[in-house]
Amino acid sequence: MWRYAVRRLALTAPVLLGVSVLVFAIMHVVPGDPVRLIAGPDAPEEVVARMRAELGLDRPLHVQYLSFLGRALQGDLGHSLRSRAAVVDEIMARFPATLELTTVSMLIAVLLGIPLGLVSAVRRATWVDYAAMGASLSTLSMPIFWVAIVAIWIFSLSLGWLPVSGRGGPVWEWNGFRHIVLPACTLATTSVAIISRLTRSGMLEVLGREYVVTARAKGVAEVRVVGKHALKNALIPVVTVVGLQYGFLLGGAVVTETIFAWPGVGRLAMTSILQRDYPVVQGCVLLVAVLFVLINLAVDLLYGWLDPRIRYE
Amino acid sequence: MSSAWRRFTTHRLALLGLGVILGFVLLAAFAPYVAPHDPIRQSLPHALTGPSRRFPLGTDEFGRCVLSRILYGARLSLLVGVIATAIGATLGTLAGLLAGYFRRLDGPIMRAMDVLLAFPGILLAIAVMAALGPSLPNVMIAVGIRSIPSFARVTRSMVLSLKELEFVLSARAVGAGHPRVLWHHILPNSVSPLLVFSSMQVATSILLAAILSFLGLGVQPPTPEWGKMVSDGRAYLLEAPYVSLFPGLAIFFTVMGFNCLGDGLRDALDPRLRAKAAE
Repeated sequence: MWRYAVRRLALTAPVLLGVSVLVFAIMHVVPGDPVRLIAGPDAPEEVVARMRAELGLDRPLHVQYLSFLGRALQGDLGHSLRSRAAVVDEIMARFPATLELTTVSMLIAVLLGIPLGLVSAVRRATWVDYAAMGASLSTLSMPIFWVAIVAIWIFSLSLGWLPVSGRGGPVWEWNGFRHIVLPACTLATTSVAIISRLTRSGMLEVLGREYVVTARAKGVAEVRVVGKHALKNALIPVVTVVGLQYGFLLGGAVVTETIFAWPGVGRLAMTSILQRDYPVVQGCVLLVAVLFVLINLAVDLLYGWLDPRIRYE
Repeated sequence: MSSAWRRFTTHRLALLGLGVILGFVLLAAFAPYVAPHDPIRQSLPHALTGPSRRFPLGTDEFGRCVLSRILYGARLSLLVGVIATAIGATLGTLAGLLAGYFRRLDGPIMRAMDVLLAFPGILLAIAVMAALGPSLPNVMIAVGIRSIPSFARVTRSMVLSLKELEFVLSARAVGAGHPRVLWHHILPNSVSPLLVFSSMQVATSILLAAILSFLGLGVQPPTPEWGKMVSDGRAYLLEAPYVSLFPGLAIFFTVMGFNCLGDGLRDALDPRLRAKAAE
């Protein structure tokens, strides 16, 4: 296990480095002069030149990258062009909201997806199975923003049950709970579909295995066969996908947070893009990508621990 | 091939998907003849009227016919979906061929793909759009880049399993050069999984392009685009929900069509893939 962990860790470092290069590169092909953007179109040329030197934008690109990397490693991602606040502070102020949203979504996805898949597998080729799998296939073809809008239309505007947007405090308080229901459910839809499909196919595979047949043959109750012998093994691939989905939820949060005016990192990234506040965009993209890589790493290590065969590949 | 054809034509879901796609392609191609109104010209007296005989799916806030805009929007969505997939497929397949075939290139190429995979797809596309600025070709590039690593992985695994097979080894033995082996022996035998994967990628690409437009990073007004139409209709959700609802349904049916087609192609071309893809 240790050798596997070390090997997997060694693979992560170059990827993280590559991520930093790519994020830096993307933000430096931006059309238009960022200095002009801050200084305004009427600023005299010498002011612009001075600001450029102050920001270090007159230096060669590789020097700029190395200083960007050096500062990023020390937790300094520069300053917002708009608010002048440190990018790290701007992001950290909003990160709890995003973490809350994605975590609640993940809980919904797991608590809904696994039972759905389980029931579909056990009741294979009945109307329950067809309905559940038809629903998840349809869900995978729906644009998430449209799901959000239909949900707002029905539950907020027509029925008036839930607020249209915003965050109402911590999730364990009634007002906070009311605010998170729609965005979390919308964000969870894709993951519910993926997790239920995976649980179903995993269960179907495992239910045909010899040890399940043996368990049945020696008279183990059906509930125990399904719950203990089959489900435990079928869930191994599900665990890894749950981890991966967490990363995708962070990406999907950009859309959901924008629609529901959820004060998280995704919405910060979107407003910063529209305001051309590139240091903030850069910081948000970097944060999510690094988190995504670390989640992948954690998932791989967990998988190696759950399924020893993986370690020897 | 004939058994694959039979499997495909008896796959009801796949035929349904193909039918939906062909329907949208025809409607898009003949949009000027089929659409009842001009998709761009505004007519404020008719703003936000509900579905009627004159405007079958109602009108938006500028009095433009929603149905006509959906029909013209089909052109854009199909085009973006197909071209973005083609960009990703071309670059990804090339990367996968090289990585799988030349051992020395494998490490660097696949590490580069890992870097691209380190971003959730939506985020990568948004970041690229933020950098390049909103325009149709940029949407295609942003959406296409995201699918490069997946195509590379599919191709690479095909190459790895093919290159040790006898027909490839014998082609090498009789003196075929590397480009010839790759182009004439390995690539043609990798077409089936790539075709299946492409069909599903078109679906994902259409969804992603719609998200970009929805966020205001895609095609700019007044061009009719489905994602943008859903977004514009948001402000009138209570009095005129159809402005948002119908374009969303159009996206849903198109994407569903490509997903079903992909499912059918997979089952027809390579039944073994069926188990794999379910993982």
